[in-house]
Amino acid sequence: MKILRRVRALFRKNQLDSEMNDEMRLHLELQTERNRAAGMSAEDARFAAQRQFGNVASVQEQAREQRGFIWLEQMGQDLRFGARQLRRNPGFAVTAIATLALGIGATTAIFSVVNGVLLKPLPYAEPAQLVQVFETWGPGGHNPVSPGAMLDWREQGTLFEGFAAYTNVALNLTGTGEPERVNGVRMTANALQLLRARPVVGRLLAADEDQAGAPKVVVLAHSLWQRRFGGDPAIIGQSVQFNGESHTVVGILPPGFLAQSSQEFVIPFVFPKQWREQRAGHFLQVIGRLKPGVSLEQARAELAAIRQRTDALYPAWKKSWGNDVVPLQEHLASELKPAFLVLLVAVGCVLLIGCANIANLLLAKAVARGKEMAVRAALGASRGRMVRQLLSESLLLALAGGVLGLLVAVWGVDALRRTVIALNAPRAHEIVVDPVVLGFALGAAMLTGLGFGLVPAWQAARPQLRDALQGAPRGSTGTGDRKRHMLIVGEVALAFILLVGAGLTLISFSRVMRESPGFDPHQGVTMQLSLPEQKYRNNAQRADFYARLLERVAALPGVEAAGVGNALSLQGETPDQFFRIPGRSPQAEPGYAADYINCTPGFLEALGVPLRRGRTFARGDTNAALIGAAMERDHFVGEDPLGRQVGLDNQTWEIVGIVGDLRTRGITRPARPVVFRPISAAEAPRLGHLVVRSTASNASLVAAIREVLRDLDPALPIAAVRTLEDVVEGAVARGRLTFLLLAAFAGTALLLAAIGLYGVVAYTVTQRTREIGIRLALGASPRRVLRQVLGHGLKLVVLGLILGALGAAGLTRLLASLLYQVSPADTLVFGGMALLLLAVALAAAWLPARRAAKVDPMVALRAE
Amino acid sequence: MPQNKADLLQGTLDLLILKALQNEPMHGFGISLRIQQMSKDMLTVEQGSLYPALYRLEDQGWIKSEWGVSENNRKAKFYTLTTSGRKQLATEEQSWAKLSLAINHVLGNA
Repeated sequence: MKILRRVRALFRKNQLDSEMNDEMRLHLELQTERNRAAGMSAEDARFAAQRQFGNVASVQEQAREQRGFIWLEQMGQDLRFGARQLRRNPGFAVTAIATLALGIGATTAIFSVVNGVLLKPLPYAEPAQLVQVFETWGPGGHNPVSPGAMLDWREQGTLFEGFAAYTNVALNLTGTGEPERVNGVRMTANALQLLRARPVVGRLLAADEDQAGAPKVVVLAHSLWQRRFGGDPAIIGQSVQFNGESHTVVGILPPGFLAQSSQEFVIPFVFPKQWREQRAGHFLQVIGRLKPGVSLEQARAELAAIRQRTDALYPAWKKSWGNDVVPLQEHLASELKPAFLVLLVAVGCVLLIGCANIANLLLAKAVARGKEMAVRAALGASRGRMVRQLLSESLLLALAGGVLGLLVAVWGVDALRRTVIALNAPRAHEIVVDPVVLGFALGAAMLTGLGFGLVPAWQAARPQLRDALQGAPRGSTGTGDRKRHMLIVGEVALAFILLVGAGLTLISFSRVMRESPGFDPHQGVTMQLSLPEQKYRNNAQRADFYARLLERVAALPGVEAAGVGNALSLQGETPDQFFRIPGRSPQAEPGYAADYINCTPGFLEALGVPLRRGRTFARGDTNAALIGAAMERDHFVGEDPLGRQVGLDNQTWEIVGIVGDLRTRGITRPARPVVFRPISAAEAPRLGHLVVRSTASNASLVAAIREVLRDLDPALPIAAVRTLEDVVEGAVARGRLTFLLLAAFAGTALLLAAIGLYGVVAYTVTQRTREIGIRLALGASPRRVLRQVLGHGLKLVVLGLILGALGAAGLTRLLASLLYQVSPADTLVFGGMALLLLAVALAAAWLPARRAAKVDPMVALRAE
Repeated sequence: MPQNKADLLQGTLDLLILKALQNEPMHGFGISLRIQQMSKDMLTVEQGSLYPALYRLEDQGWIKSEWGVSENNRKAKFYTLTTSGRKQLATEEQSWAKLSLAINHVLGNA
């Protein structure tokens, strides 16, 4: 009943107000009449009645409070007033809202990336129990797993619900529609169960489907099902052709289930029988699920125990190897985490600087409205009420900025998402603007509104009544000044930190770019060929195909060299093996890890890898091997490798040449030892990288090669057609993105700080116009005044720089993992950025300083 | 005028208003006169407290208001005691009696 009345009162406000007025007026009149009847004069009677009544306005106010949802009314009043204030200063409003929109938008965009990739729990049930398992070689030397070791764990592990292995695979999908090369995963049959997948249609892989001889089946990812099979549930039970082999579709996964959005199917991973005892080659990615309640420590301990028990089964050179268990979420995020965290901090700094600017402006305005505040206080407004009213203006700004910022964020998230997917980062498809992100954006807006509005509101709501009402001489520095100065110092410090960060990444990036990948990226084209098993059953057939292909390609006009290899540099996919060097005692030096490249003659020439000594492969080589320079440096100290032998398992070959280093693991990783073996009937990879160096244009070259391939085998699709420059580009793309974003943030921060400094100095000059006028009139030179004003501004900047230097020293540690050959305390960067900041600050403070020097003393003195 | 009376005194004012309205409806000025009269000129109600109290009582549902015409032909808002208001009056009279008895005990006057 009460509530109903209050709600009704909301709508009948005007009527109720006028009624109340009538009532009070009547009371006053009656009281006045009474007083007159008692003998007072008309005027006295009236005055007495009014005095006795008290503050009509206050009574009415209280009465109104009784009446309705007063806080709602007041809020409406405040918001309308705030809006009016903003409309009167459109320039300020627009700048403030734009700054906020950019700050909040950028922060939200970066946050949603961090959320999607790092924070959100994996889309698997109980994700905390999922781990990635490694065999380790020395501290931090995480390696993929050997099949023998994994099968040991399966048999003997008690703390794990299970282990599953997977490798990435790319197969040619043919049959209905265009032949298409599709990426997917080969997984042991229990993998999807471990991940607790719940198929949208059909079922998962059955337990025995990864045994040799089992019928070939496939589980499709949601995206492939939609894209290629129209989302038709009737696909279950049908077969599709992968690399010419029939696979029956048994199930469809829910959308976004596999970590990489490019992975579109799951086929069983069949272990050949001999892998049971294979503990020397490492190529399996292994995940495990811990039983409920089992900790990482316990898991590690169990694996160590198993290792000990089975030690005799391991080759001697793995004596010092161990195992490690890492939470799956951490493993998937590990590569991008440092970069994203840095960017999050950076964008947060930009937002803070923007807020500080707006706070400064509001502070200045609040001081200017001192008189208005004093009048309000005299009329009986409580402090809380005044603070609320002032805060409403900043909240309006914050809300507008937040809404606009959300638009910026949506656009930004989209752009970032596409970039991150292009970088092939895991979980990239989980970057969306979801409720968490929306909540974050709104929360950020509210916080910033409070943040930059609270201090000025608090400040202004405490007016010195007498001074304000009487108009005390302006010329004294108000109490707001100290706060504004502190804000500027803070801004400068933050801007400096960002600049240093950007500078460091710039130098790091330029150093990365200067690194040679080991091959010559100009004038080269590469493409991937995968020879389906049905057509090319064995090494001989594959080698034959490659030979015929190269014969034709080498004959094309302009071609200088052409070759095929099992791996391309810089991609980190090169398999590694442990080689031995015959003649060395296996006890003393058990083996040598080296990358293994299987290639035809012409491959190295096409890549542009220089030959140091000896010769490269020639046709007909069967017993020859080449090594990279790193192998010579590391393992043949003081000896000439030429003529020596290197071996794997029970084979040995003769080293006939030494070639330049190839950075197989990435452009920032040091070159590893590499062993090269020729492609022959004994050994030819199923996936071959064709590399062709030619003087012809890339487009015509690619067209000509496609022609040749079509002629040789029309059903063989080509993938990953790129120039060698693209390959290098791909390797540095990540670093470049981080650098560009950081530079953008630092630039924005610098600009904002400059604007802020300009504002503060300009305000000070305006405040002290009278004082300056007096000085000039008394004979001070304008230059002196200029220097003084500049000095005042620069003092703040220097303080900010010192504070910033301290902060940068700490925060750039965060950058350390991203930097290549750059120390986080690089003095060149610190010094250079400090100078840059000082220069910009000087420019920003110059304009108002000049204005100060040009003050006409007569005008200034008279204006008071 | 800021409301600086204690809750005790606020409740007392409510009691006085309800009592004043016991016999007949009155407008605000009339109520303040009546209370002054009934207290033999010992109590004067500050108008600044009267109207808020009236609105509060109306909000509680113990009195109701309607517009009418005053003695000198002016529009005035008259307040009447409602049924629940009468009950409230009785309750408050009882608790006042108990309270004053208790205080007298403490002061050694009972």
